[in-house]
Amino acid sequence: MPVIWTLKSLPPARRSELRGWALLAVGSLAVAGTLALLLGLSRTPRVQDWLPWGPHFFYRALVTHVVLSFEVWFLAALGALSVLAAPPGVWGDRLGRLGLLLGGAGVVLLLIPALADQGEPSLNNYVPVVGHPLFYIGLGVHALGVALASLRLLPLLWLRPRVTVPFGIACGGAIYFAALACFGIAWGLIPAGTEADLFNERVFWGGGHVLQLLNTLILMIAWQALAEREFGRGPLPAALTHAAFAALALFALASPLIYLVGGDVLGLSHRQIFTRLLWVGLPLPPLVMGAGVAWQLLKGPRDWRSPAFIAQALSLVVFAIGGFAGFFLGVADTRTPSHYHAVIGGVQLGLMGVVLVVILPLLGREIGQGRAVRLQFHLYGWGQLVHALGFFLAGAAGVPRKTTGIDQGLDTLWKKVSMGVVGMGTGLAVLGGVIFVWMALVRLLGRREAGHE
Amino acid sequence: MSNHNRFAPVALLLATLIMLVGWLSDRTGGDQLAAESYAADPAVFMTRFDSMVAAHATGRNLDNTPVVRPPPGDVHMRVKRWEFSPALELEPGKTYRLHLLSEDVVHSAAIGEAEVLLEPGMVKVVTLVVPGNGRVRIQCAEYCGLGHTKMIGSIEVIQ
Repeated sequence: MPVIWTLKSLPPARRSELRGWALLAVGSLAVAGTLALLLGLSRTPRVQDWLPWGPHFFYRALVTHVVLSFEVWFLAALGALSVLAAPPGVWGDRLGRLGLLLGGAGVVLLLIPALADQGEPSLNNYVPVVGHPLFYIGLGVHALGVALASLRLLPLLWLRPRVTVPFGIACGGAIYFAALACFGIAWGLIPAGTEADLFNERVFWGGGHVLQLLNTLILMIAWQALAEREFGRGPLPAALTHAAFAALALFALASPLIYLVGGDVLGLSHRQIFTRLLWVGLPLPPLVMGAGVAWQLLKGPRDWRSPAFIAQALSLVVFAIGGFAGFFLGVADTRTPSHYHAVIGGVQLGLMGVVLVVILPLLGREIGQGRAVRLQFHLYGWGQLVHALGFFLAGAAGVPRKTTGIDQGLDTLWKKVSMGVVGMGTGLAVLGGVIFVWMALVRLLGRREAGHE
Repeated sequence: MSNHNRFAPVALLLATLIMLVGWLSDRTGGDQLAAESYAADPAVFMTRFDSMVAAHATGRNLDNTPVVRPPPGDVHMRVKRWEFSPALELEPGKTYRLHLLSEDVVHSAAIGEAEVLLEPGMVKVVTLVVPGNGRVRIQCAEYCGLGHTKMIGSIEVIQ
């Protein structure tokens, strides 16, 4: 049963909460996007020589960029989605409001040490950190806020009849709790006195992997919601979509068991078994649903002026190419960011579509089908692909990841050209991101709600 | 829902359950290097390392690391943020036993597609059969600080 949301389906309290989560998500992306531009420039040959900042800025900016664009944006989006799906009720509204307050406060707290030049940056995987108590407290407070908002989703896992998008969002909530359980268990198991870099790497390792299931699920929810808007029905039969959502949630809910059966939390087996989660547990559901989306898009009608259609098509292409690149990863070169920038770019495109096509209209703030809307999807989507292609070529030539300036070892023309392509793709994607953030923020911050004064 | 419509979701969930059981029981592959291990006194290990370098150094340096051409057999390598030392030149087709000791924090040695974890105070011994030509890539794959991604050792195959 497709859900066609209308403004009237959200009571005023929910509408104001939705606006808050959307502002937190898009605002975080705005800061992250600004940092991404600076990061891209600081890795572009010749341009990097003219910039006044050194490697310390690069590393702090990289940590902040990743946390805002990779954690806060997606988790605040989960908060926003929870508003749409949660069953009506006073307690749900209270949980949501408190969650939003904590979610926002956590972001402010974690930004303080990063911007005040305090604490050592650590580029550990998934949730890089600035080694300062305020940063960890900020992360924890933000995570708690999203958890409170997600708590109200859990009854939907059992509620009948199942409505596809809310069921998917509820599965997202379940995955999020599984990730939190992994973080908490790892924190408890890692011996006191463990060296900071190893601690950060291992405390966020398992839960970080589980969050990738959540990101994938968010894309699948976006595909479903956008398809319902564009075609009036989802890309697959409802039962198959529910199974695809549930399949991701099943793997996530089993993940905390790895801390029992996967050996020492600081050992190699433990690390590798979570790596295999992304090989074994992640690909099938989006593959099945992506095939449905592709078939639906091919059958048409294909309206290239429709933001919902463009968001679906580009997110599918970028995500699929990124996923394919995942089979050719090197150990520590830039083929790894090539893969994850493309798959995450695909998720971003889907989520951008949801913000513009679903959330803003729910708030009475239409975006229409103007040129700027279409342009932002194309710039961001193709920019991410060019960016990923450059990283892939550079990585194949041996350029190490997470380095800047002379450390990149750009000693051949191939490497220099490849990293130049990365810079070009960064520019295009940032431009698309800027247009998105501008369009969304202007509408979210505006006081008037069209037709609802 | 008809049986026809029910088949695909049930098949998807069944496939998921089978993969889940395989994953939880660790039957979905592994990429660990076979290695012996022994506890080591760092001072004793350093003495062996220095002797090897003194006996087989080529006189050249690579990124401030001595280049050494040891005979087949035991080779001692120091591992620390963010280097593998020495740089090695090895003979093709010969077998070497790399004794790897981390001097500071937990690192790992990823050789080819497989990996071994290196904990301070514990030597890991990896048997390496040198390929016919080219180079053997050895690098750290356990996050160990901001220079982690540059922690790549040099093992060249010389004729």
